[in-house]
Amino acid sequence: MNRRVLPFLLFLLFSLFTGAALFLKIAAVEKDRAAIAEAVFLIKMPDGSLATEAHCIRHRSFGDLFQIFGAGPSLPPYFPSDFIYSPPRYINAGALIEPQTP
Amino acid sequence: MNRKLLEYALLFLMRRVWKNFAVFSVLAFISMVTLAVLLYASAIKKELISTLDRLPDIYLQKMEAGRMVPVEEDRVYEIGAIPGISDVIGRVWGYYYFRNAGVNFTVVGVEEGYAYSRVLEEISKEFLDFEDSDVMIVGEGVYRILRQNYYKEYFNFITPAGEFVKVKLAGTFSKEASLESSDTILMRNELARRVLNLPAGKFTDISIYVSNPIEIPTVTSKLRTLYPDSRIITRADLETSYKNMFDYKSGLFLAMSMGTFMAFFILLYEKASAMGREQKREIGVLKALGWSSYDIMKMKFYENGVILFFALFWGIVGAYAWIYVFDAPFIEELFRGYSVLKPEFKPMVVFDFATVAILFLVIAPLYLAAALIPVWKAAVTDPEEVLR
Amino acid sequence: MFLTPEILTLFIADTLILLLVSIGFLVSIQILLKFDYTQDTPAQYALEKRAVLVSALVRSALFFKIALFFFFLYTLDAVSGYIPGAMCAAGVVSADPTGITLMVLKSLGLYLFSLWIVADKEDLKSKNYRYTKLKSALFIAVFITITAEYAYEYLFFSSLEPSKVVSCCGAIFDPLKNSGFYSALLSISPWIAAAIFYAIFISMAISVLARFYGLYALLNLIFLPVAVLTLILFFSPYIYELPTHRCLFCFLQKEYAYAGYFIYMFLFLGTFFGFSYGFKKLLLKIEDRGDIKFSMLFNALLVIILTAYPLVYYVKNGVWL
Repeated sequence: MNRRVLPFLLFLLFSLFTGAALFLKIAAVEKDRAAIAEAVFLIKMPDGSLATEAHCIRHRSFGDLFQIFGAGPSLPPYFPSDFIYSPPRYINAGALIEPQTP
Repeated sequence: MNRKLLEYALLFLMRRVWKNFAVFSVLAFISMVTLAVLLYASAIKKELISTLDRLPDIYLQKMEAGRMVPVEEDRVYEIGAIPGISDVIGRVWGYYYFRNAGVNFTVVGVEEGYAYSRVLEEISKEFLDFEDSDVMIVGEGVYRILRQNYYKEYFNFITPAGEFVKVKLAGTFSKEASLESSDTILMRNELARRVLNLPAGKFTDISIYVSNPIEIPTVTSKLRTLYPDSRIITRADLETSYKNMFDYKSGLFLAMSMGTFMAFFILLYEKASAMGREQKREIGVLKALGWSSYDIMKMKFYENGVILFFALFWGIVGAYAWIYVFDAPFIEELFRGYSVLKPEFKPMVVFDFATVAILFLVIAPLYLAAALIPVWKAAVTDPEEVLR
Repeated sequence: MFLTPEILTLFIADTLILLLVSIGFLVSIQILLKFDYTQDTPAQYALEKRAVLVSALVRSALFFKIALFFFFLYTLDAVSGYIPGAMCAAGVVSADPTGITLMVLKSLGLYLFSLWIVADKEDLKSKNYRYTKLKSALFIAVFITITAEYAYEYLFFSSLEPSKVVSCCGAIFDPLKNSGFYSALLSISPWIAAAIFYAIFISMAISVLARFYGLYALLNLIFLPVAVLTLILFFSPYIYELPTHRCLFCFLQKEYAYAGYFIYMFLFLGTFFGFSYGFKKLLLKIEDRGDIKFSMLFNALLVIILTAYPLVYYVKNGVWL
């Protein structure tokens, strides 16, 4: 092995070491899933509380494409760039959807 | 893999370390931003999907003239008679607009008589006697807003009728569940009815549990025939909605970054083409020493491959650090609304091979396409031409 | 058309590869028309230089093509969440008639690409550009496949309609719900299919032992479709541990430990090295036993993996499906 490649190898080791340390640190703080699950079980409401303002409803999964303005999840007439969300696509399929066979 | 050639390529690279470092850092930065957005989206998606099995199987809402209206209580009993259904719960919930802070709270009622206290003790921080009087349990975001408005121990709801309802603060949801519960206020059904002005004998919607998941489609179609005015949302619908929401947004982001990728492409192409006299001479000497064009290209590929590897590696490391160590500054704004009630949550940890594959499959061909032709041009130069 | 990151990635990468391959195509045409090793004109030197470019270009493109093929399978799976009725990639592929063509083109492209690399390697070894014209001709076939694949990929993804209901794999691989030749294929008894599969594999092994290598390469050609058919008819119920579930794609999913990726990888490698032997023998007039070794190794691995599923199932449950 050429001695002049040494700084490079050191950089490689440094990279791997930093990466490993970071991933170990991240993997160590796993979220308490039981607490989340219990909260969801109690509230029984879908979606994350990412947007709660008046024109962007919180429980968007409860709405559909045909929802009137203000209660629907897509809100096209207001600020289309503001909160981009496309509703469930198959909603147009309606009753055509076959029951899924496992 | 030729070790001597790789060694040579590394030395070649190190002699122009700063020029190469510029390419490396731009590449690493682009990978980091792209991956961070994709990663954050899949973290939220994973958390939401992981909670899916705790939700009811079916929701039934009553629609009138395109708007959701309260459901009659009778329907709860009628639905309970459908075979295959294990549990039917009429629910009271709604939004409460808190004008001082300009935010919406989600008020959710729970049925009395349910043995919730054990669960409550687990999820709430400072548990008071929930079964006692008019009390509520609030999410982390609500708690923050209330404190800012000097409501430390209770909160005065103003009902639609104009009355004040004083509700004591019994506890808060655990911070872990902030993404799901940040804006939620949990109280007993009667109290929620008063706050939301929902008359007795009516529910906001009905949640239904089915014992056998295979029967959900059958139950759904029965419900549809029974109540033509209803909107029925199954858990499968929710799952699609979750997946769609964040894929759409991260896809849009990726589409918008295309311009960045193009700019990067041009930068790389220029950098690879503008080979200095020194470098050309070096290649000329190598060829005169008997290296073939293939050897030179191979060497160049090793060189670029090393840059690519390190850039992607540091891009991945940087993205993970951005999201999990520094809690995703900037990126969280992309996925949240503009409300004051921003949930403070730690994204769930995802080690997603597919997301990294996306990054690799976008960046690596780009790098290849940009570097290939300049490298070839350098490799096929005649030695006597440059050495003269 | 959906704007999911996966589909976008496919298109970005495929566009770049198409760009590279078109450069190779232009050069290949020049080589086909004008290449003459015996001449020493400047034009000939320029062409020899360009041949270097094509070689480097295709090698790197193939690397990405292989990665993209598996990523494509993954994308189909990921997209199946949006399509009503689709539970796995099978439903998505069958959502549009272009889907099947696309799958066939993608696999064909992989084989052609890899064969081109084989020709290129031998060409480099030969020192006097013996196969340059041949590989340029082959490259035109590769280019046509890649271009067609790109066009079909666009057609396929833009035809995916979220409001159109597709069948799930249960229906696609059910003989009663299909018609014609395809239905007849599906109604073959699984035990007969398995018998044919093992018979072909055993005759492959015998032909290697008896040194009938030409026959071995030929058997690979039959082995490929038979293996796919047997996967549907015989092996997939054991992989899913469900007598009614026949599907070529569901085992790519996480629930089955991503077994599908390994199965298809071994199938590709095994048959490819078999083809490679035949290709070298027929077109390049070279005898290379190494290919046979690799081919037999990967085919054997495939058979071992596939056989393990029914055996484990039988040991656990005491019945055959």
